[in-house]
Amino acid sequence: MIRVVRGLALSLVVVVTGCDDTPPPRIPDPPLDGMERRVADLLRETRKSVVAEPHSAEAWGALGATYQAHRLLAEADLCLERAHRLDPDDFRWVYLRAITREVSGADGAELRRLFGLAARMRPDYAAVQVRLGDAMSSRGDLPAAREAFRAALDLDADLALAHRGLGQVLLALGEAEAAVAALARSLEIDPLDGSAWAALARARNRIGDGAGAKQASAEARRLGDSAGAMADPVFEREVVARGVSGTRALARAVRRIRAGDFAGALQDLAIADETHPGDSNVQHWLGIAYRGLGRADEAIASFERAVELNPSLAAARFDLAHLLFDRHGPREALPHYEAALALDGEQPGWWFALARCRFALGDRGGAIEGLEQVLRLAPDYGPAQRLLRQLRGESRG
Amino acid sequence: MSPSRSFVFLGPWLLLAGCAPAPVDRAPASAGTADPWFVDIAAESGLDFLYEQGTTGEWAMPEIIGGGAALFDADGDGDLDIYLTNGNRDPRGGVPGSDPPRNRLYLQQADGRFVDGTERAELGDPGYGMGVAMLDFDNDGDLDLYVANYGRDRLFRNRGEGRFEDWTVGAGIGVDGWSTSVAACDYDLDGHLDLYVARYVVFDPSRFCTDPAGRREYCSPEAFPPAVDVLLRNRGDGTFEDVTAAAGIDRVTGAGLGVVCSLLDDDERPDFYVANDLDANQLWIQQPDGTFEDHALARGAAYNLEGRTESGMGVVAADLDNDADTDLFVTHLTAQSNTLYDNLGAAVGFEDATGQRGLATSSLPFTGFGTVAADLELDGDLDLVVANGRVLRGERLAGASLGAPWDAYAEPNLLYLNDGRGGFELAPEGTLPGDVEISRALAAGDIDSDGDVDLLVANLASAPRLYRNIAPRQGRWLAVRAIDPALGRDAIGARVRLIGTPSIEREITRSFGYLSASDAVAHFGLGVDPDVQGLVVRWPGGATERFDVDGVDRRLLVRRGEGRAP
Repeated sequence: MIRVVRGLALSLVVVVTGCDDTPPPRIPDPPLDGMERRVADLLRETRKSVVAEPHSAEAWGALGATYQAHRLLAEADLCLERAHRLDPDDFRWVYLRAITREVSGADGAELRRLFGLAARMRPDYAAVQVRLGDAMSSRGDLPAAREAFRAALDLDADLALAHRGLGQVLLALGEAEAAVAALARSLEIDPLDGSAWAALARARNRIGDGAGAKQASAEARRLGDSAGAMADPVFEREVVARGVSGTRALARAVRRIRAGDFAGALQDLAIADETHPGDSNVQHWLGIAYRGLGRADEAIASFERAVELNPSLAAARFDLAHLLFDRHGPREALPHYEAALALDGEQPGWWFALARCRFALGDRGGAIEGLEQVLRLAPDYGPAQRLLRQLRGESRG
Repeated sequence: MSPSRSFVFLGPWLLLAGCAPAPVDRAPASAGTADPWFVDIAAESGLDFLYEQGTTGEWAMPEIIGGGAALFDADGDGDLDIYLTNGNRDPRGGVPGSDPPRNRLYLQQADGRFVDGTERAELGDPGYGMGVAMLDFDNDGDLDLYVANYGRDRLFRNRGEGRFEDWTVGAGIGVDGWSTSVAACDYDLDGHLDLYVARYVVFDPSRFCTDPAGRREYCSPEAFPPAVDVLLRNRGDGTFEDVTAAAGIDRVTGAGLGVVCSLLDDDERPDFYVANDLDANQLWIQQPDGTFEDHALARGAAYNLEGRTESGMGVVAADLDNDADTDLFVTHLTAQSNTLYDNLGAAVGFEDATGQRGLATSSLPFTGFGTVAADLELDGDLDLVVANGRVLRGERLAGASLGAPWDAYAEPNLLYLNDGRGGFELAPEGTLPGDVEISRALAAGDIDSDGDVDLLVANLASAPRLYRNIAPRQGRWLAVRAIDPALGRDAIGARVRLIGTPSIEREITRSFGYLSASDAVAHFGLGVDPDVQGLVVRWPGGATERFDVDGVDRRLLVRRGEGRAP
């Protein structure tokens, strides 16, 4: 009997799939003029697969994901919808379509339907719930957002972004005490999430904790709205990995560097260097990748090129100075430290590095001056306090 | 320059009551219809302007940012004139070169047409024009003009009767780089109007930017360091002092595009709010010693509800839900909604209420720049208009007819109707003209003196639009101009509250939106059966006076010192 039911179900699936007599949509064919050759070639090849197999969900899905990777959203939407229609059981296509529609400005009802469908297919996949929570939150459906973030936390209690999202929604719902708890939990897991610190500042402000709010504000300001990435292997594999443009390669390289994958980053940066010749930012990241791989001479050359291309790129100047200090000593590093700080004098760590450099050159007065700048910007900077005490002691002695 | 020499033109304004009310020229009609609310009269009025971007094919970022506009009475004849900033042929460096395109002044004639008065007024600045601010910096009763450029900014002093002189050097102003929007207000309450100049980025034309598909595209502001905003304190002797560092404004930087000056906490000291492009917004709260601290993070106005920085463009500060405090509305890039920061009171700060107020989804596909909060159909609440136009190419929308490459940047503008409680819904299609263009500045004022608010839209790659309001009226109106005779000028920063029904408050300001300046009038839609018993003016600094109102559908002029205790 069970076998019969299974057989019937299978037949039904086959019939449903096979009977999709909706005329296949026109295969999107956006103008490729002006695109990087690598992107145009990839789009052309991927499209050919759909032409060859117009009833293949995989081919349509791959084309949709490739369009999505290069932010051709209308084309991506059409392809992913077709892929989902051809294979309604494949989680990937409905999930990626939900993401595309979210970015394109779909309303809450449509996104609830699409993400809900995806969640039913993969009830274990927390990223669906986090994205649904974000979508509902931005569209003003706060109870639905709260429910989604809680569902994400049921799947993974250590998901910092879900705690943060929940905290932000609770705060908007006026539940400030609960918001503080959720945001504090988020920050236990990811203390470098500037957005969570910002929300915590507001929540503490709301409950009358002025000092706590001020401290959280300071952290938020220091970190910006940086947040850790959410594990979303489906999106990474199907969309991010398909991006071959210089812009996408550079973005991927930055993520890889942050994850410690310097060799992978170097591959992406080679693409970005080819597509963005003379871009100081690319040269700066190249320097960082080489430095991470221990290839100091190539790193120095890249930092120098970045500074040459854009003399006001303070961070590249500082990175150059730091590496020169380590490799060639303080005398070569000093002018670059000074140049970096002339461009951006608000970085306590840079002042500390300058002070160390001056100290190494025997310039005690200059070192003390640098350390005083550190403590003006960051009064609790321990190493600066210690070195300053030491230097002042020696001066008195 | 003394107040006694002022020639504040008061012709069409009724000193309190005493004159017959102007007739309601259109009968109230039901809301929610698709009747057009506006008709474009730019071409028939003689506005023959085209913003020259100087496009070189190098994708220089200033090409896609500019386009400022102002509505003001330049020549003191009592009607609104138009000033439009222009680009030039060097979007990479902003250098005018020989025979450059210039900003233009259009003077309104008695028949409502506009004629080019640029040359006579000597207002044809050739800089790469961004925003514009209007202020009577010398308290002589006429409006002077600050032009924000990509390049050196300019201050033009009105010598009277619509003739101007370049007073930049005389004023001691040396603002260079990339200025955008400018807010003029008397932040230190010394009687002289000061200037907050929002500044964008330290642009490097050698940067090579592409979109995710690898096509050349305008850079994101993230490609450049943000520029430091500038605060110029008016010394009262015709010169300005750069107090940016002394006031603490340089402590936090952001790529500033929009700025407003208003009372944003619980004291009478004016504060500033800056909309930054991909940097946290700044809420500069003025301290008792005249310095500023950025409280945006703790007060919930730095990031959106999800804790993300957004691409802030234009901003208005107004009471959008009629609860007697100042809310903030910021326009943004595509895939980010425009954001409404609801003011929950000084102790709490602001909360992103965009989604709950119905403003999220409909703005996601568009890139918003200029914005105006005005009661367009006179029903007693503030509606929102957003001027849209992309900075990154997208799919060509139906109705776009600018040609390549600009069709890929053109979008329709949006009008949101207020439900009276601060909830908004998109007006039915056809309410706002469906022009699909690259819109930037949006200025508001009663151009035809018929009691409702008209709109001026500055566009890139196409002519400006002058939208005359023909909305079916949902009520009566009052327009209040507040003058401080001791200063000889409009009391910028004054707040006008109606007593009776409806009980609503508006602020006297010219500076809001994006790269724009508007008419400094507190305009009230009153609904169909108003019972306005008077009005209370809270003058800058906090002193209040009550004035009687014995009729509606009229323009009122109130003078400080001539009212009575509330």
